[in-house]
Amino acid sequence: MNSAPPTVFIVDDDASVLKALERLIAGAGLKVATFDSPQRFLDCHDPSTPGCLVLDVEMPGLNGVELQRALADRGSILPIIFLTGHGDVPKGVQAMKRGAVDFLTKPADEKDLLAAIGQAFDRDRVLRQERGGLAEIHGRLATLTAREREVLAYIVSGRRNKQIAADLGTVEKTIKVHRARVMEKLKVRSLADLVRLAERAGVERPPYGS
Amino acid sequence: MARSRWYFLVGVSLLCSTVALGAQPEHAPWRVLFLRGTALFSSSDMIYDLAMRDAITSGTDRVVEFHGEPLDAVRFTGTEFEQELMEFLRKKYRNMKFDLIVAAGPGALDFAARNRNALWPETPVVFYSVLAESLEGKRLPPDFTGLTLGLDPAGTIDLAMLLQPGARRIVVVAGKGAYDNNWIRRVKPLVERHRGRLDAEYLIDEPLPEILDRVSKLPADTIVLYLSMIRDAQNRIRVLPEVAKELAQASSAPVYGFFETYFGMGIIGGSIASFREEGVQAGRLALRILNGEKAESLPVQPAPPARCNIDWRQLKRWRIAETRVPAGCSVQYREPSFWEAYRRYIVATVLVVLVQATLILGLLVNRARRKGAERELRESEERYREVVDSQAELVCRYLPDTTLTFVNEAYCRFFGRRREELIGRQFLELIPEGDRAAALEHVASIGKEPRQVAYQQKVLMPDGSICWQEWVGHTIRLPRGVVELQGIGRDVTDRKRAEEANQRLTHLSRVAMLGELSGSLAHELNQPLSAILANAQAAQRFLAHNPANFDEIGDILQDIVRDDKRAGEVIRRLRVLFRKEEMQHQPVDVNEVVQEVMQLMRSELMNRQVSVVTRLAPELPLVKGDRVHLQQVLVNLVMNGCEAMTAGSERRPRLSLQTRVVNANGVEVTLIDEGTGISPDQVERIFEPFVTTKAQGLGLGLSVCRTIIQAHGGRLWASNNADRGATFRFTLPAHTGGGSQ
Repeated sequence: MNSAPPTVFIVDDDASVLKALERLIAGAGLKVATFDSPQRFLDCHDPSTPGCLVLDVEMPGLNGVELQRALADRGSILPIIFLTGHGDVPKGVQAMKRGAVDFLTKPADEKDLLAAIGQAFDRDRVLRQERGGLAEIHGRLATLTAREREVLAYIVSGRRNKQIAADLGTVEKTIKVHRARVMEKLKVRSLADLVRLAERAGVERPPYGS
Repeated sequence: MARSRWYFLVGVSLLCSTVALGAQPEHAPWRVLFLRGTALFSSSDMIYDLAMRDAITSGTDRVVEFHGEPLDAVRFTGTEFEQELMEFLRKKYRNMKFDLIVAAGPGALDFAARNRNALWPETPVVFYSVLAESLEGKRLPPDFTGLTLGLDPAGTIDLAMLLQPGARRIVVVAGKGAYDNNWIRRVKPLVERHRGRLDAEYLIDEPLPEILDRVSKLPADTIVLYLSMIRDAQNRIRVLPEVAKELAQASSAPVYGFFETYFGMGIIGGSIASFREEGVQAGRLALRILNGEKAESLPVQPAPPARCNIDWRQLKRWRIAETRVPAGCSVQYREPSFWEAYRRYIVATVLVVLVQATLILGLLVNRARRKGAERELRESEERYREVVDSQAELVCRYLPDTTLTFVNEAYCRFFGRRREELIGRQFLELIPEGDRAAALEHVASIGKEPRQVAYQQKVLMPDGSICWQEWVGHTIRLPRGVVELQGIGRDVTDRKRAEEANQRLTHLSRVAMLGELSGSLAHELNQPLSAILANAQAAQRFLAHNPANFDEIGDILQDIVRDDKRAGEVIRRLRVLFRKEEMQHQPVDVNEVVQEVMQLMRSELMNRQVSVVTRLAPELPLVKGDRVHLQQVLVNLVMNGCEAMTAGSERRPRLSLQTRVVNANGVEVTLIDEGTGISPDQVERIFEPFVTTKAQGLGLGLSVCRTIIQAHGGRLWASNNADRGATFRFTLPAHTGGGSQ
């Protein structure tokens, strides 16, 4: 888990705005990195670096919304604070749905901006923690054999051992062994824990459920 | 060699032609023996004979020798005489051969018939002047031919009875000679035919003086017919025409005759044969024989017929109406009429009168013209005044200090004042104070520039309202060095108001356009404001630090100042666009306008995700125009292009904006979009007001654009691209110097 201090990434094509924001945010004691175009930011971006993105919506080339999409495609969870010239509500709603932390109208006041950055940092931290737990679960899931994974899918879908044995053309005893192995490998004690874990990891259910 | 042959040929041809000339036959002259039966110097015979001779000689190229013998057979008669005469003739013409014998008169014919064979055997004979009756019972040799006389006593008597239908008596006058007796004998039966109607009397047995006395006592209803008088009763030889003359002079009744020689001597007329014609006919007959025709084959022919001839003077003398004269009669000796007699005098007199009349007429015309010219001048003055007064145009004359010296009706009407109120006043008073200096400047410029430019000015109406006039002035130089100015003007208030309305519309359309751009414009303004706010708040932080970082604060303040100016610039640009001003005509760089528009629309284009590719001609001439208006046109067109493209396009839309030089020094701006294009029936209509293809908008944009471009002297049009989208194009004429710079 990365424990480096979070960075505020600022992307704005307007050099003077970029410089002013950098001064302001850096002046508040935060670590700042500036980019004069979304593409340049994308090119240098390391998803593992914690922090948040302060992004001008209107830019030539990739615009803010497109950058947001590109980050998601790369599995980045970096929270984004949008800055916009017009209070364009539909665009704001769209951006928020895609996971924007805030949508500030220019000129943005220092207090609002820093508050939004604080919030974004919190969000980033939580997401990263969540993302850390999930990675461990995925690690455990990876230890399952193909047959155990198959059985897991049936269990999660609520089938009984006898039914699963019938489905897979085997005996109940074998299924019981598989089930015990799965519980052991995934480090869960109860069926309820097993279902919760499988759901979090996004385990798929078999094609014909109950 | 060749040369010698040529000489030979020439020599031979010359020789040949010489031989041909020598071979031309040389005719021997024709010899004609002319036998005249009567004595010499008879006037009628001389007419015959000369006409006969001329007819022969003029009908041939041959030389004709005439030999003549006057036989005077009436007076010299007897066998013995004839024997001696023959002896003489034989000797005389011993060595001569005749081609033809012409026998003139009965005596000659008889002599020839008797003696030709003995004297000139085989020589053919042509005769004439012989009565047809005298040939009766005679046997002429076959090679004798000729003419019989055409004398017509019967026709003459008929004519007399026609001219004198009331005549009771005919008096025949003749001599006592054999010839005369012959005529009496022949005329008697003709007279006899009219027995019962005409009493006949023959005056033949008396000497001429007595006959003359007798005829002088005849009643007027008498016909006097004169035949001939070679000898009178006293045996005195007479000349026939002379007798006719005396008779006619003495007679108390009209005298008629049928010999040509009597005509003109005082007789009234008759049916008269022409001796000359008969002579010509005889000559032609002789010529045919000389030319080789056989006399035997040519029959005896009658002489030309006698024709009615009347002496006009005698008609008058005897008071015979000309209406009695039968048709076909030749009336001669007509006395010249007054006109014929005095033509020269009449002509001269008429000429003199004419010249005088012309002179008088000329003077009259001249006077009338002068009067007419005076009247025309007066009328033209009136007309001119009427024209000037009835003009819708305002006409005035004024001194250089604008004192009016003349105004027309329209001028008075326009200002609602009487002429007397206006003349003598300065029209400067009628102009709003603010515009007076410019008006005076204009007046001073009149006549200094060769091309008159219409000058528009505001004027104050009596009710205090403002109207517009347009004036063209020129200088008038009056005698004695006075200079006046004449102005022709018109009321252009309506046009001005329409222009103002148009300006308002243009402005409104611009404001509406700016409204559409407001989001983007806000962004443009927000950028510097954002920077300023961030910088200012950062500075506050730096100030709060201990120690304060003044270097950093100084940089910040510098940036704040810069961004503030930038914001101010945006505002200024906006204000210019919002401003409501008359169109300016300044030299404008179209490339600069394009760049300004791109700056203005940067945010809008970004927002619409439209990229614009500009390609600007490097050396574009300046155009004369209004920067703001041209910006308006470009913004409108770019917005249009954007809207055409955002509707359903998958890839990032692109506009292409180009400038280039066209037509030597015009400027063309082209905007190509990749949108949906324009439906063909709309290509022109989209420039009409209130025609729009958009869901929103008034549809004024393009119509205003076109108005603006046209006001610049340019042209704006649209067309669809071959692949997709549309192209809008406008041209602007280059600024050609002069004007304000």
